[in-house]
Amino acid sequence: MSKAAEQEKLLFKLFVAGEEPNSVIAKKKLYELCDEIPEEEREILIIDVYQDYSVALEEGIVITPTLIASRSDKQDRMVFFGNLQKSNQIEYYMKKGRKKL
Amino acid sequence: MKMTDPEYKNLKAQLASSEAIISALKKNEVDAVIGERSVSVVRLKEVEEELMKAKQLAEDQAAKLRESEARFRALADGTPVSIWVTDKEGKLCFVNKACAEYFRLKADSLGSVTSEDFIHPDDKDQFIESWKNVFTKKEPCVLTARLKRADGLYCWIESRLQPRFSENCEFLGFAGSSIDVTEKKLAQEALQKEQGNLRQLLDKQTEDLRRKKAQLAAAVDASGGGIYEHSVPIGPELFVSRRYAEILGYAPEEMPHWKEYKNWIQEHVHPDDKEQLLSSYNKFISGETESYEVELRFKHKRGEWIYVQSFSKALERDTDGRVTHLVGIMQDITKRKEMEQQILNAQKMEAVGQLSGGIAHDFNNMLQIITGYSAKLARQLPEGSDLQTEVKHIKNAARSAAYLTKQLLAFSRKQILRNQVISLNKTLKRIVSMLTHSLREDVQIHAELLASPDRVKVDPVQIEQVFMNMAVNAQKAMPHGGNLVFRTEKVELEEDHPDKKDSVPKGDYIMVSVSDTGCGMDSDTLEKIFDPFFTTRSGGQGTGLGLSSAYGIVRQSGGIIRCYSQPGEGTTFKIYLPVTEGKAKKNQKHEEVLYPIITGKSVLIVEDNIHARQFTAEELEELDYTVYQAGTLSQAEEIFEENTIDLVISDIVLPGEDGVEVYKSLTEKKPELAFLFMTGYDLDQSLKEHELIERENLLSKPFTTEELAQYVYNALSEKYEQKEEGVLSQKTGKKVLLIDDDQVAAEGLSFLLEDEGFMVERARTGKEALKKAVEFTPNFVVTDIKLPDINGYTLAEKLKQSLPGVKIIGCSGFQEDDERSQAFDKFFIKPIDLKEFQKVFSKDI
Repeated sequence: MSKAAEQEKLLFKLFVAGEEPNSVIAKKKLYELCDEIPEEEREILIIDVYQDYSVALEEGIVITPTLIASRSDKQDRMVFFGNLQKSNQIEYYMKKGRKKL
Repeated sequence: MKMTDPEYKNLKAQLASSEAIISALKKNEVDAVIGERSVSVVRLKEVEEELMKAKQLAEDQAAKLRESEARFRALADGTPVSIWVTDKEGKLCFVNKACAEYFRLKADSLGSVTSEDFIHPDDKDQFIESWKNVFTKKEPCVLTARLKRADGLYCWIESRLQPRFSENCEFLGFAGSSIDVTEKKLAQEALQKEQGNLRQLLDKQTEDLRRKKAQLAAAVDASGGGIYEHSVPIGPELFVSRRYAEILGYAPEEMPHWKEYKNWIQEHVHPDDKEQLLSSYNKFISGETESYEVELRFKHKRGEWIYVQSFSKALERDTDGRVTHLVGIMQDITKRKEMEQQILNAQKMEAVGQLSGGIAHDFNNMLQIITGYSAKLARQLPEGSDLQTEVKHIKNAARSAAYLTKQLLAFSRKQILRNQVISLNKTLKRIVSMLTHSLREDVQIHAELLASPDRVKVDPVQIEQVFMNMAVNAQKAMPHGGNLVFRTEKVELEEDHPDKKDSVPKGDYIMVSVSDTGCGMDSDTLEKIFDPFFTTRSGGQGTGLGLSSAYGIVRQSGGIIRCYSQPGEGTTFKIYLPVTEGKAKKNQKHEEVLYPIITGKSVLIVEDNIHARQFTAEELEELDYTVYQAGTLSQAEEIFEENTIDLVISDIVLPGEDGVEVYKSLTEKKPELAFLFMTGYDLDQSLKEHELIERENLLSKPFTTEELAQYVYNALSEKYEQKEEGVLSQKTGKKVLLIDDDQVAAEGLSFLLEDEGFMVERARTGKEALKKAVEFTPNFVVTDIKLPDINGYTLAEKLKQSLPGVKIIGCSGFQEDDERSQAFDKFFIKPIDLKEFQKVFSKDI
């Protein structure tokens, strides 16, 4: 792995509503998908809007669960809505994103 | 307005986002919507969702139930076993295919059908009762009954019932399965029948076995044998039968434990028999001998030795042939052994009897010569000379020897018995009376004369001798006093009677027992008690012929004699005499018995015991003597002064004086006086009292009539011999034919007869005698019984025919046939007593 790779990661921000059913499903699915990515290449942030929704407002999030996937350099930002059960696009993004790292 | 490219892109992006958000919402993947000021939770479809879920669940369960039902029916219809379900009333609500076919049931009629509709009439009541119980108890159970199947046949059906309950435990009925067990049932019945037959057979065989075992046990019991069985070495399965224990004197429970059995046996076997036992046993166990048989002595529980015979056979052997298991039988052979001993004794007695009889016969012939010549010699020598005295000693010695041979003849059953029917009770009463006065005072005499009838045919003199012998022996066995008991009773001697060991015929006998409480005898002494010349008395006191002559007299009288004794426990003699019919002679003692007497003589008895004196006086009076009695010396002197006394019989011990003083006083008055002493004390001791007292002039109490008569006769004949000598001189001219093949004996007798004035002709054979009788015409014939050609009886008969009126006198060395001796006018046993001989002649002349 190059030095640049150590600095750049795939960043996943998941906005959830407490332990509501879709939020729980989405969290579980995200961790499953990320299992295939080495820890040093990704970072997961779970943001509970019940606790603090200001970040959601800042990011223009209107529903939960919503996942914002991007590189750490804020390039190639992608937003996914719903409980992430349809994961094809996310997996595609992860592959593509990792190639770019 | 025309949008710029970035704006267009942004709008496009927003549209895409919106579509995505709407899609998410539609898909119900959204939890919350974020507004400007709050977060709103999205739950619009929750209710619908729940309903959907419930509907789905119901559909799932219905599907599952249908599947389960289908599966159950498939299973139920697929099995050949009848399966059925009832409601709580007992009505069928389900049957599987097999059940429907078996009982020809239709689905539409199930509700109206119960098991009772198919039940066999014979089983109906019982089944209905059981069916009710089942529905009352509501528990799993099994019912078996005959039910009618589709083809109308009744079959044995076994049904297993399982109760059904709802979720809230409400009883719903039973579910059950039924199978046809007809074959099993028939097989069971056949098996039971077979078992019944087998049991019957087994019972019969067991019964047979039991009967055979009982027969075997009875047979073994009857044989008197006891059974034993054990392993080698002896183990816990040791078995001994009840009889086995009984033989040894024990109850079965008293027999030793198997661990102690071997030692116990060895401890109880006689020490002298142990070696034989071990040797035989070891040979048998090692396989050297096929069986094992021993006779040994075993200590009975009572402490005495019994003889047993043990016989064993091997039941099992190991590969080396060694016995590992044995069975045996043991028998008590004590009686047999005793009988063998008795037979041996009897044979010994018989042999000794024959021997002594033979000796006595020859001896008597010799004594005849000695007495004959010594009598003649004595008469020829000067009266009172030393030589005459010495010759008289020879004559006396010969007389004593004759008494001994007489006893020997008695033992060998060859003496003359003058048998007559007597009452044994009367005879014993008289003997007891006599003994009461003559035995020592410390000897108490009792009589229990119970025999009835009490008639026996014996020689009264001899039988009296037998009892007197026993009484004298009893007194000697009781030096410190005791009891002497005479007892008579009638007994039946059967073959198995313990005392019937000799060859006497079975039948009725009078048993006389003579018991004392004296010192008794050990078994060695007891064994020889009847042997001639066997005596326990110190030198010279006994001839050893008393009991042997008793034995001979009893045997010759057709009886048996037994002796029982143990050291310290007294002695009992048992005499069995055959009961006879007929009347006893009134004067049974003397009528037929001839004692030697000298007539016309008077006797003075000096005795302080009035009973003893009276008894002796009566005896002498019966012998035709004139009797005077005195209790003291002074009385004796008084009587002596007033009467002519030929003989005095005086007791040695008298109050104040003694017999010797009587002797001195009276012989001073009459020197030729015959004198006898009497004593109730020890003979040897009495003989030492005074030199005047000799065996020849001492009567030892108790004495028999015969002894008394003999002593009196001897004493008188000694003194008055010279005076009697003239008696035969009258016979001058009378002729005697003397027939004897023994030259010496004939010569002695011939000499005596000639000396008395007879004309004597001698013949050696019967033929010669018959010839000479015709020529010689004798007045008397004296003949021996045993002649070389014919016997004396035949000769006597022939002589009587040819010479009517001739007196024929028979003589022999021993007793001849009692009946046949009647052929003679008189019969003598040699040596012939001259005085007696003379009497015969004087009576006839």
